[in-house]
This record gives sequence, structure tokens and C-alpha cells, in this order.
Amino acid sequence: MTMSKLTRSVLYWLLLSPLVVVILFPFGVMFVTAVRPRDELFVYPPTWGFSDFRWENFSEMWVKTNFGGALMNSLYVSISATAIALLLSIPAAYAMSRYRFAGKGAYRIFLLMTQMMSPIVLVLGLFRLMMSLGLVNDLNSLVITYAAFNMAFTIWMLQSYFNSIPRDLEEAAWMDGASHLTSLVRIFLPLAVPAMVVTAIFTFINSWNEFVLALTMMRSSDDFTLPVQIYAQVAGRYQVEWHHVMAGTVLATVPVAIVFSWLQRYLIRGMALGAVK
Amino acid sequence: MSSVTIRGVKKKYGSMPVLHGIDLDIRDQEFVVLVGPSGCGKSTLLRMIAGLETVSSGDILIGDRVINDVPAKSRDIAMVFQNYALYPHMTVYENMSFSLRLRREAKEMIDRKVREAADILNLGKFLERSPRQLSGGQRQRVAMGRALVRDAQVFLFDEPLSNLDAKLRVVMRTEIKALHQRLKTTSVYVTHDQIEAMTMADRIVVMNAGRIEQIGTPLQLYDTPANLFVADFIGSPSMNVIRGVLGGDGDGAFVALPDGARLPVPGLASGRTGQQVVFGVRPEHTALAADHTGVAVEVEVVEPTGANIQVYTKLAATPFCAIFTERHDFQPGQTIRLHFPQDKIHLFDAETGQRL
Amino acid sequence: MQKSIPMMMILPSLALAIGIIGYPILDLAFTATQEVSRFGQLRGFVGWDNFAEVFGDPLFWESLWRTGIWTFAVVVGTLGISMPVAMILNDDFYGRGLARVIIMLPWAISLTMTAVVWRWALNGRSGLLNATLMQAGLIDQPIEWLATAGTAFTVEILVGILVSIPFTTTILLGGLSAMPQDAYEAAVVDGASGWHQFRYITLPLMRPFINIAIVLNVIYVFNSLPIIWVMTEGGPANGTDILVTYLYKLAFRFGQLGKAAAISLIMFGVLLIFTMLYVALVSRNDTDAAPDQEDEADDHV
Repeated sequence: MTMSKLTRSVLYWLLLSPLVVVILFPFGVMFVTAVRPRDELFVYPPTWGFSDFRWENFSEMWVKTNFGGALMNSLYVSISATAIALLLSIPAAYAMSRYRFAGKGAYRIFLLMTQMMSPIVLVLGLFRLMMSLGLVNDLNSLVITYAAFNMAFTIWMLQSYFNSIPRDLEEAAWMDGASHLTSLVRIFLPLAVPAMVVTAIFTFINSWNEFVLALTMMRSSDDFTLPVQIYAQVAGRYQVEWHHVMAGTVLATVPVAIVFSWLQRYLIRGMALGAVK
Repeated sequence: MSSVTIRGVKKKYGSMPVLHGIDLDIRDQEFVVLVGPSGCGKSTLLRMIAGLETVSSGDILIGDRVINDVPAKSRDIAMVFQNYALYPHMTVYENMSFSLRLRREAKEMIDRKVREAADILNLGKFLERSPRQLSGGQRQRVAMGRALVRDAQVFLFDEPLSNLDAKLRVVMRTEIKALHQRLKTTSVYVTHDQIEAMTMADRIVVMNAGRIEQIGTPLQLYDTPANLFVADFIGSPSMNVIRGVLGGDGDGAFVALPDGARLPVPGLASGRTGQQVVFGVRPEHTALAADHTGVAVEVEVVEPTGANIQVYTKLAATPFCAIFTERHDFQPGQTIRLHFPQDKIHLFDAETGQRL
Repeated sequence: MQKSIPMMMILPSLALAIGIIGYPILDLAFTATQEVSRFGQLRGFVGWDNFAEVFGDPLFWESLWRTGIWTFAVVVGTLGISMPVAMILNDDFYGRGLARVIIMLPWAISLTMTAVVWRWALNGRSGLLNATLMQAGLIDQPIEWLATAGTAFTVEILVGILVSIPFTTTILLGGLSAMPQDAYEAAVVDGASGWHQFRYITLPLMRPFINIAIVLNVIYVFNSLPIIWVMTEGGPANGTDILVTYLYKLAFRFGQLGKAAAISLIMFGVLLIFTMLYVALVSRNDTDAAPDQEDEADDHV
């Protein structure tokens, strides 16, 4: 209360510092390992220090581990899943935000329940479903499942943003002589673009990071997405090329982390508006 | 420009009735104000005229045409919204020209109309700004301008001044009235502020709980409120009301108050003696009485406003307010005697609340 | 016609959700009552046999017990850390923006990557955690963190807490930022100490947010596979198996599909209970953002 802002800041940073260290520790591990010469991986006693920055680890890794292929797979799956999820969510969120209709409450609860159902509980059923559709080893199986599992979140986020776009703007457009379609295209959608971009990016990140389904559905290494591809270099191998693995994780996570950091306040806002309320 | 006719209009949300059957004739060129407490259904009625709410039963006509099933966009009605509803991604000019552009009017024509409206509303300098950069009063003007450019048959206003501060509200009130005197477009205006209603309306419609309580010119409502609700709603401070029993003797008719005091009232048809009534008088219609006449009350609080003095007392244990335009030096605890001119007295049936 | 417009708008999303999330549940329910071959062929109705087999399996009970510990420890730990962190982040101080970004960082990284990095960091010989502790002089022998079930499971719980903090803090922060400032000012005027303010204002007003954070975390942690899977795959000797890892092994390693389906259904049942709890919590403090008051009437059909 009577503490000055400076004292308070110092105190708070001291209190947060253990957590900050633990959070940043894995990033340190990633970088330090990724640029280390191979023969300094397993030294005894272990040490943070190393003799030389080996940036070529990254290019080596790119070639040896088919990183580019996995990257393309991840991009394809994440972008397609995001596009489908958004395309289906926008009308649903609009209906939830703007119309009264029978079963709206029930649909909201249904969405909540689908959000609670994690892929792992359904993974066996999903695998059998994809088997029967002939989509195992097909990236499109991931596209539709990711779209489905993200939809509750996207509808929720979009609805909470749509609610913050005043209804009377559309009413004013109707009074001005606009049809429903015209008011949607010329008034509502332009105002909803930021919300749609933010929601799309979060959906993209979710799909980008998914592991269980990708691990299950993709049986051939040509079809691996990044998380599975990196996991595959660690799991069940006698000799793990840790410097390559870490180089891979750096490339796969850092761009996403930067985008996420930039956008996290929107997520907080969306949550405060929609999820919790 | 056109008349608006509302015939037996009802509105239900699910099974909950909101309007119980409204009949109202709004004449061509008239400025009608719908006034009432929140939840009385006035905004719902306005939105039904606009086409933003469906009509559960009854008919709404513009001119001679039933418009129940005409969508809002085809009704040729302009509306000013409570929160202005300016399109945030368009400039003032684009906001005002939106309806004309939708109708694919010629460019020069659009330009001329927008500049005309901007001139009337003093918006000339702001045409290229975005609504975000405007003050509350300026936004309000843009909302009006958007309605103005259209030459619509009817103007609807949904509490347009409620987001402005008190001073600006008075200014805009006058501007809207002046605008109507100039354009003479049939207008329906919703507000919960009885002063706005009194100052702006040709006729006022007082609504309460989904029904119309009274329709009349401002002075009709003020002078002869049809019932206790209107009596209480119109006028500020509110009319003083005291329960009593009607009686009569050689000196004429009177209302006997619970504490025994007798207030003389204008003569009424005989046979009403013994009836439970509510005696009403406006604070501004009380006068000081000469010694030994009128009723004695004790001053509790004195509030000078400059223009007048408001005195709060109790009459027959009921709070009572009196307003004097002359300056008096009243002190709390002092006893004063009040007198009520016979032609300013209102009597209501205590059971039904209707005017006697 | 007018009435069907919103229906048309939700229909595509509903269809996808039913196809991808609803259908597999039914399929699991069916599979669980069938004898299933290693290769997924159904060989006829066996009633409750699969369930009986699950309940007769000591590994199931061990995994269930460990799932309980895992969920409880991670959720309690997460909440215990997130509450003070959220209160700090809600206050004004120099570098708050940076602090928020750092605390939220683990959320951006996939659990798989985090687990891979920790698996390396915890390497028993050359891991950098050992390096740090040895260079700081805290230990003089490297510790084989993942070689024994006890330490491995503990470390996994700690990583679980670490990755759950951002989401939990976000929810709590949402609650704190909605807290009425005048209530605190009134309390200060009434002579309340900092502790009193926390105990009598913050905590009661935060209750709904804390409840939701607990329920959501329970659901997420209960379901979380990647951390344990990547770091130890439930080993050594099934010593860190929880239900999800056990389920995954049964289904995709040992080919015991009937049994796996039965466990899936049991987990589905547990989740359903938590979900109901969550729905009840959410609808209780649901200040509907829908346009009209009258909505409430048809909303709760």
C-alpha cells in the first residue's frame, strides 16, 4: 500500500525469480545444446560451457532429419485445420451471438462437453474411424480431427468477440436500407476481422503443437508432423543426436513462441470475456 | 412524410407479454414522444415500428400501408440509436452517405445531400474524421445526419440524448426540436425523461407496464393527468399525493385527512361523500396562507435553488413538498401555513387511481 | 423460414463435432463389449468381459492410483503457485509486461517439445540440470533423475505444474482484473489489513474463478499424455504409468483393443462427471452476453 513502485517492483521480481528461472531453463538448455559440437554432448562432469558455436548443426539437422518435410506437413495440417475450423465456426458463433433459437443453451453445453473430451480418450475410436474411412497415414485425417477438436474453442472465442460488436450497428445498417447479407459483409465482417485473425492464430498454434493424434494416425515417417518427428528421434533409439533434436525444437518452437507472446493479451481478454464469464 | 397508425399491437417474448394491446395514431408531421419508466415497453414499440422486432398481433401502418411483414430495410424509416451506432470503420462522410450509396444514388447527389446535412448540423469540419475522434455531442450529430440525408417518411429516436451530459442534453434537445420545426418529418421519440418529453413533444404518450396510460399534449398531461401514474410521472418534483376521505358540510366539499385536518376541494356531485380518495397538488401550486387559515405544517428541510425555494414538510404524516418563487427565510422547525388554490387540486379514486 | 436461419448456421459445426467427437464415443462403447483381435477385427459380443478383465488387472489399479496422485499433485501445485503469481501480475510494477510474457511462455510450446527438452536436461550423466547443480556445488554426483520411478514421477509432476501455470494464471488474472476496485478502497477505509483484504474480499470474490480453474485443470491434467509419454513412456517397469499412458500402450503396443476401449469408456465416464461439474459452475455465474434479457427465458430450455 505505502510501498513505492520501485520497492514493489524489486520485491515482485524477487518473488517471481525462481519461477522465471525454471521457465527459462529449458530454453537455455535448447540453445546451448543446439549449438554445441557433437562430441561435447556427453562430457563428464556435465557443464554449461562449450568450446565453439556450431551453427552448422542447424543445416545438418535440416537435411539429416527431414525437418523440411515435417515442417511442410505441420504447415499443411495446421493451416487447413484452422481454415476449416474458422469457416464452420464463424456462422455458428454469429448465430450464438445474434439469434435466439430453441436449443441454443443445449448447443452451448454440447460445445463445452466436446472441449472437455481430449483426443486421448477418444484416440482408439478415432483411429478405428479413420481406418474405416481409409485416412490412416493421410494428413487429412489430422486436418478434420484438429478442426473438430478446436471448434468449441474457436466458436467460444469468436462469440465472445462478436458479442462485443454492438448489435445496433447492424440494425442501423438495416434501417439504412441494407439487406442482412449486405450488413454482414459491409458492417459486421470488417469489424470482426481482428477477432478472426487472433482466433485463427491460436487455432493454428494448437494444431501445430498437437501430439497424440499425429503420433497415432501417421505411421510413416514421411507423414510426421514436427512434434512426432522430433519425438521419433528420441524415442526407442540407442543413440540420440541431442544437438540435432535441440536444433529442431528451437526451430519448431521459437517462431510460435514469439507470435504467442505477442498475442497472449488477446487470449487473456478473450478468456475474461468468454470462457470464464 | 407520413402518418403512423398502430392498431391493437401486442408483443410477447415466448409466453411473456410485453405490450398488451397498443392503439395510437401519429399524424403526419407530428412529433410524438413515448415516455415511461424503463421496462414499460416504449423501446419495444419503437423497434416494432422500425421493423427490428416482430409484431405478435395487431397492425402497424405507415400511411395506408400495413407494414407488419415489410423488412426494416424497405420501410423507409430513419432511426437514431441510443448509442449512436456509428460504423466505426467508416468516416463521418461514409457514415452519413452509407444509405445513399446502398441505393446507388449519383455521386454528385450524395455529395450535395451529405454537405447539406453537415451544414445544418455544423459537421462540415468533421466529415473526414472517424467516429472515434469525435466528442459525444458530435457523434450524436452524425447519427442525426445519417437520418437526415435520407428524406425518410418517419424519424425514430431511441433515447438519443441519454448518453450526453446534462448541459449538452439541453442544447441538443432544442436543436432536435428546431430541426423538426424546419423539416416537419413525422417523428417518434422515446425517452424516460419527462422533461425531454414535455419540452419536445407535440403529443406525449405515457406508457407503463406495457400499456398506454394517457395520450395528450404536454399541458393536457400536466393540467389534467388521467390517473395517479401520470400525475406522479409528469412534473418535477412530483405531485404531492395524500390519502383521505371525501366529505361535505355547509361550507362545501372537503377531504378529511387521517390526522383530522380538512382540505377544502371543489364541489363534486353529491353521493361521493365517504369515498376514499387521493388528494393531489403540485409543489409549485401551494401558496402561503394567512394566519388561522389553511393547514399548518412544520418545515423540515429548506432547499433554495436560486430560482425558487423548495420546502420539505409532512402533511398528515405524508412527505410533502412546497415550492415558492418568492424568497422566504424559512428555518427548520418553523411552522408555516399552506393553502391550495381550488383550481389546482387533483382528486383521484383511491381504489382505481383514476381521476375524479 | 426465418426461424431456421440460426439452425443452418450452426449445423455444419454441429455435424463435424458429432462425426469426429460423437461417433467415436459410440464406437468405443460398442467395441468395449466385443472381443477384438490384435488387428482390430470384432469377433462377437462378450458383454462385460473386457471390463472384468480391466478390473482384474493390477496394472489398471496402479495406474488409476497414480493418475489420482498425478492429477491431485499437479492441480494443487499449480493453483498454489498461480494464485500469488496472478496477484503479482495484476498489480502495477516495472516490467509487468515482460513478466507476463515470460510466465505465459510455456503455454506457447507444445508439451511434446517441453518434455523432449526436459528429458535431455534431466539426462543422468550429462544433463544440464545436473550440470547446474554440480557447478553450483549442490551435488557432487550426477543424479539419474529418470532411472527410478520415484524421482521420475516427481519430476514429471513438477514439469506438469510448470506447464499448467500459464493457463491457470490467465483464468485467475481474468478474475482479478474484474475485481471491483472500490471494494478494496472501502475495506482500507474500514481499516482492513492486507491479509484481511485477501481473506474477506479477494478470496470470496475469486471463488468462482478458482473453482473453474480447478475443474478445468483436473480435466486437462487427467487427460495429459505427452509429458509422461515422452519423458519415460510410463517406465521404468510401468512405475510412472497413468491411465492415459496405460491406455495408449494397450491400444497401440499390445493390441488389446477391447480392454483399451473399456478403459476409454471408464475415463469418459470420469470426464463426464467433471464436465457436468464444470457446466454447472459455468452456468451458475453465466452473465449471458446475449442481446436481450428475454433471452434467458428460452435459453434454459
